[in-house]
Amino acid sequence: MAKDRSLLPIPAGMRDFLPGEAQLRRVLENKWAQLYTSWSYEEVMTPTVEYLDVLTIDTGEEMAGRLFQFFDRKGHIMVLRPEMTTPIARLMASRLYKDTLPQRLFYGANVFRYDEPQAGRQREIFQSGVELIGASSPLADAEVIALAVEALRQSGLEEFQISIGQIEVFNGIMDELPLSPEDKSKIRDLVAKKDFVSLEEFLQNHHLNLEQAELLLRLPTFHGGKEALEEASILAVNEKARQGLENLHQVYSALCLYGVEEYVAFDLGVLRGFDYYTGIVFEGYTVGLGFPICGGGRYDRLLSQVGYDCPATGFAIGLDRVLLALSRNQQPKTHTKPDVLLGGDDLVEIFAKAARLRARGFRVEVDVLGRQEEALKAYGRERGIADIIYFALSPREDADDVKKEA
Amino acid sequence: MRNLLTIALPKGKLYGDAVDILAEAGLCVDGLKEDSRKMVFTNEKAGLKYIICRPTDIPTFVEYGAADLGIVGKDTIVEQDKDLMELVDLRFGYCRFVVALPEVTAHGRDISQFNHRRVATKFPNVAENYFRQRGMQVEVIKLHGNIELAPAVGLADMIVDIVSTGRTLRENQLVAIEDIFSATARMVANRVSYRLKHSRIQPLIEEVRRNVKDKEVRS
Repeated sequence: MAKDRSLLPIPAGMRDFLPGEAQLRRVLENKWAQLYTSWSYEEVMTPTVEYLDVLTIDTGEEMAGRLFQFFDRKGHIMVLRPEMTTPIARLMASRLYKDTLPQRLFYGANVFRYDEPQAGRQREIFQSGVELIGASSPLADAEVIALAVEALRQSGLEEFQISIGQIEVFNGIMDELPLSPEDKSKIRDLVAKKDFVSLEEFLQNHHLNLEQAELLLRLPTFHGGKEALEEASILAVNEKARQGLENLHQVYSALCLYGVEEYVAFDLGVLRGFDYYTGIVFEGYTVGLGFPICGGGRYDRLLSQVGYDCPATGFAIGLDRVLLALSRNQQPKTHTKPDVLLGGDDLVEIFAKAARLRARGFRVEVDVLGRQEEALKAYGRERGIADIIYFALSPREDADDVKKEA
Repeated sequence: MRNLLTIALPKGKLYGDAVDILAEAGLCVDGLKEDSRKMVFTNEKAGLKYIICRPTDIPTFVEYGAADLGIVGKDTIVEQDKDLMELVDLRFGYCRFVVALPEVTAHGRDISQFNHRRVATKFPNVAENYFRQRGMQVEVIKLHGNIELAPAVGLADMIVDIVSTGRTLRENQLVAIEDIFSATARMVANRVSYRLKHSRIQPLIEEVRRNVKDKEVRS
């Protein structure tokens, strides 16, 4: 008897991929794996479950309260990985530390976050990304951004944009503000929450009618192409900010040489993961989706926290979000039909035929229910299979017309 | 799609001021002020679409990107904690979040003397955060309206609610003993729209900000 379907739930924020959906995902994953490989990135895989204290070396407060964690039988606290950059940093520091730099690595993996499942946030997320470890040059940042553009382009998305910021410009301006570390951390919170009204109030309440405070509020308005970057030169309040801007210039020049400038825009208001990123930061957006489809940037401190001091940059694309954006312009995919259906009682012939057709790339279904000829044809028609071949042990004289070559 | 700007407007108290602020900023608001039950107004020539919805739904529309911009009270924003860009304080729709008690019990007492009490509110997150920060333990009871009824019938000992003039409190023999914070209407943006439609949104924001400032100077 059929079970009550409401008794077969899956946890909130998780999903099934049905035939068709899983295929779309697989096609995209393969495309990206091929692309990364052609840029000389090598695939790595790490365990889904790791120790809490190893995986939270760097993530700071951003991940606090958002981890799936549990005890193993010895009482260690375990977590489901919330992202892939830290596991790869661990891998570099513990397994690949003798290898020649730079290392180019890529992954396709599921990660887990205990978020409220809404507005693009799921609890199991499929990420595809790369890490370029051991290079601090602007060319390295440009390479991963150009690669992200190429990955999004190959996914079939028509309209998307990568917005590039520089966290050191923000940090440089912050250095000039005469505020306590607590107040500065409050400012970072407000910027991270994108609450510019409270930020303005806060700066006014601290009597910061300084030019620098004004610059902080105007950060998100520096937006656009090369001309925006020229305008942003007024943000060079000290050496740190100046170098940040110079770095943006260099990365942009390289991106122009890659020929991807139509997909990138500067946006000094793109500020993510203050505890984590140390230079270029970027996010990818597409029209019609209210949340980013990819993100990345330079993280030169993380590896030193796992005892392997070395600069790095990378990105992760949210595969589900790209699929969601694509599904807006595509028909939903369902089951894929076989090209040929084989049945009958001459198994020797059936298996030989199936092997030949499969080797030529056809999708072949072999009947396993012992259907008679009429039943086989009826079933094949119902599924919409074009070619149905019945092999009888002792062929009747008129059976030839049934045997159609695929 | 990139040429169409969608703005979510709150039905009710804030509606009139919200439409005015957009009109002053030079947007076409034809038809918005007429008494109608339409929920979506599209003006293709001007590249504008308005969604008129419940104030508490505005953060959701904007967070998902169904609307690029929205006008909504800070009280709603704080309660929902959605991922939005908060861009301009529009300075209208002023109200205060308060803790209020029946006059008879409040008499001369400090809030910290009311531990382990029941608190009725439409804003459970605001209430819980407030009491947690003060190290107080309370039982928060979520209601959907007429909060002032709860103490009168013994459902709760106190309430957390927004007040603008304080009349409702007085009429129900309640007295505000603590201010939590005050709130006004805000202009919010979806974080992706803000970047993809920056060339339309940024000038609008600056115009609105200028107008708000001018009004403040004049008044």
